[in-house]
Amino acid sequence: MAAAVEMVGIEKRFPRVVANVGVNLVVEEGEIHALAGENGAGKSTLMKILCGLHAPDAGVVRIFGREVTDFRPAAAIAAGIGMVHQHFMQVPTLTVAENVVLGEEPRRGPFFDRRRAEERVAELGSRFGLPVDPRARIEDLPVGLQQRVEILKVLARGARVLILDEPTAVLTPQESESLYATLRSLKSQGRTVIFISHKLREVRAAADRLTVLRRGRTVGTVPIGEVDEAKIAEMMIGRPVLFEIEKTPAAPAGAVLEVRDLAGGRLRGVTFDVRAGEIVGVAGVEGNGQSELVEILSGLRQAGSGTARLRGRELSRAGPAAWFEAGLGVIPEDRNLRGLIGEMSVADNLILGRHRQPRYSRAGIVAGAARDADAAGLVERFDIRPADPRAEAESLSGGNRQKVVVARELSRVPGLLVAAHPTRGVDVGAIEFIHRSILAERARGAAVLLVSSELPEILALADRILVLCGGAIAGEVRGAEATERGLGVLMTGGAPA
Amino acid sequence: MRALLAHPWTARIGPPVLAVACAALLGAALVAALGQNPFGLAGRVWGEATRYHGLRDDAAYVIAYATPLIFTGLGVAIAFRAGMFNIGGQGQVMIGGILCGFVGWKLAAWPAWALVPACFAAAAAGGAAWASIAGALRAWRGSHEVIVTIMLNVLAVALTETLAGGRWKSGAGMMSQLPDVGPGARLPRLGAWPEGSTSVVPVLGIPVFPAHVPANAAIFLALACCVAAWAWLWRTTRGFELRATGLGPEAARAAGIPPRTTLLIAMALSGALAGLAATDLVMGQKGTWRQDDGLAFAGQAFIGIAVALMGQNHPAGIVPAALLFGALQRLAFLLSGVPKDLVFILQAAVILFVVCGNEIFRRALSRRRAA
Ligand SMILES: Nc1ncnc2c1ncn2[C@@H]1O[C@H](COP(=O)(O)OP(=O)(O)OP(=O)(O)O)[C@@H](O)[C@H]1O
Ligand SMILES: [Mg+2]
Repeated sequence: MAAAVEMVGIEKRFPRVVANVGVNLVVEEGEIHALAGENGAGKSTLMKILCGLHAPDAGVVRIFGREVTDFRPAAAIAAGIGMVHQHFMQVPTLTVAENVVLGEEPRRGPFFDRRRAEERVAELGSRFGLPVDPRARIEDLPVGLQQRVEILKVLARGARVLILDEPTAVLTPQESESLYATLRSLKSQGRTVIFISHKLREVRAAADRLTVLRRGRTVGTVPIGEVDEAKIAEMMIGRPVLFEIEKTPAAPAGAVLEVRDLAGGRLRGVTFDVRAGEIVGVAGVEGNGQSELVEILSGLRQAGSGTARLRGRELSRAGPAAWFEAGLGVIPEDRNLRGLIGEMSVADNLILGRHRQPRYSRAGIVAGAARDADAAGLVERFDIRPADPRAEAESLSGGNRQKVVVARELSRVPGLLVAAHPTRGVDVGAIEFIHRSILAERARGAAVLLVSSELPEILALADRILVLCGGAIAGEVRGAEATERGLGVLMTGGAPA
Repeated sequence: MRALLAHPWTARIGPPVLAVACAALLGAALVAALGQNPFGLAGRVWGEATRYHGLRDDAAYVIAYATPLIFTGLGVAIAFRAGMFNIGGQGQVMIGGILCGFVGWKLAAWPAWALVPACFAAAAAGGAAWASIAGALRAWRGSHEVIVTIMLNVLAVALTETLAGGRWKSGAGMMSQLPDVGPGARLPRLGAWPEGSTSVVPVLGIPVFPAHVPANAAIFLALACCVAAWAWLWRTTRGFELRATGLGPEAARAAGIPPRTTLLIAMALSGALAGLAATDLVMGQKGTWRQDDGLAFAGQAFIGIAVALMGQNHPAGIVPAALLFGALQRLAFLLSGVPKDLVFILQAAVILFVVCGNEIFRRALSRRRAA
């Protein structure tokens, strides 16, 4: 029997970078195959070749034994490949059923047959164990369900091989759990799944086999039982990675950020301080007010009531400029929307928001030399690849874009660092680096507010942990005493253990 | 070849060049469909073009026609870089023009060194003020600038007519027209410069421009504006903020760039450039603001949109694009034996092909870097 997917000697070059060189990947039918590797290793590129978004410069692709000659999305779909995009391709104002059948709507006469569409979606949902209300509007659904709709859409088009690029990057741990359950059920129905992830724990739990890429090459394919997380990380990076970073006890000084009864959107009155030299973690199931908190604390949303003082200045209704002025650095939740300007160069993105500082603006003129020199320095220090400050931000891989944002915000030397999901989509090596950088900020005396849906991240870094539930603080735990279980109970509204 | 295709300039220069080629082919096909030999027609046009002063006349006319297009094209481009579509060039030209004529008339006694800048400032201020209305409404009230600028166009026609035919009217004639500007406000024609020279300007001893062609020194202002716009957009902090706002409005706002002020500045600059186009008419050609001339002249602002598109919203692209559209206008006078509408068809075809070309190149590129 031929393998579901066989890619041999794949090569793909971009103007300034070689994304894939001699990559080999064999995925058997009916398995869950994970793809891992550093940021920029070429994972997304390889999958885009498979689903017809890129044509390879060299190499052979076979799908169920048939060699692919036509690298176009339509041909890939016809061959049974289905890609679940990270940026969901959905019409938010249409219903689930309408979105799933979009492009091949069932008709009755000249009219759209809504009922048949809904029946078909319900049928698909129950067959694959993916229940969703076919009549719900996409925009009303949480991300996890939107993704489910995306999977249904792909299945509705007859996909036998599903590709998911970092599917859990935007999901809560609970949603991730249910996604992996879905993948297992797809597998039991004979479908083949390929997924990319930086979360090694999930890779271990969900995959049957794993292929690791490094710098555009295949490092190897192994059955998941033969490797542990440390081994995977070592394959990815080429050196052992420290998962446990040693952390000295915090020596907090005076309060930098004072938040009192702050409310707005889903946030219903929170009160806390963040002191210089400490990291305060905010844990909680996503959608319990974290986004609003981050937005208010970076000037993107005006608080409904309450106050937020940064170094003594009341800013709860001020704009971003005033916050930065007072000493904020912020790693926003959505780097593509708020953190970066895709069509500008990495160097320009690295000064975005600091472009008015005297170093970069002399009498209103951009100081190009200072910008370029600093960009080169940051690109090297943060290991941003490709190491080319003139590259457009858009051409960078997901993790490298995040490194650009982190590099810029840390180079502000902030008094308060608000970090929302700082390691979302970045590889283990970079996670280690970003965690060290955050700890270095603390050691320097910065106040750090860390919002993350990754409990291990919060546990590893935070000195104190606030748990948000229903827009209010459900409890506060000292970092050293916190456990994942204990936090989990608080997060879901239970009493502190 | 690969490297050439991948070069960032290919996506910028490719579409306009291809568009011109395609439009030319389409034009030839149309001529053939009309039962004429396209090569024969081209030969006749060439003969006509070179009849009197060789190509000198034509070159001078092309420059004359291109001058207002450079201004209005730049105006559209600046707004576009900030993410806005300013189609109110017509109104901005008219308000700028009447103010330019007003200042030139009221301060007629001033010497040229003072009056020329004053008239420039008036034209720019008029256009800027008019466009700022749309900018402010967009920034503070969220009204779409396309709708607002269209309405402002209508309003500008009415307002200038009221002034030129009323309070500011010259003499007792029927014409809605201001009194002449002072001699200090006149821009010399290229063909009569330096003053007192005969029908042609000697440049390096070569006779260049015939004096009867309306090409005038406003072209130098237009070129200076191109350089200034480029420097401002790509070398100043404000220009950086404007481009950032256009390319990533949310990211720009999150970075502390004030979105409203930036939009307002972009619209004001866009309008100022459009307003400056009127200096060509008022100071370079007519020496006054006359309503009917002004109305016809301001219609050029719509071609400015095409020029910006064709020039990829970049000053260095706008100059050749304006020259191209100027050449098409000149072509209308040289055609014989076919309907003059051919020129309009060519204009439309160029625009259409550029839009399609941009889209095709954009898709080809985003296919390479798909999300
Ligand atoms: N369209 C493009 N143009 C230029 N370079 C590109 C393009 N797409 C990807 N690259 C480059 O190719 C390399 C591989 O990128 P790819 O997106 O495949 O990485 P990845 O393994 O998915 O990384 P990540 O884990 O960060 O998402 C990177 O260096 C990236 O900058
Ligand atoms: Mg990727």
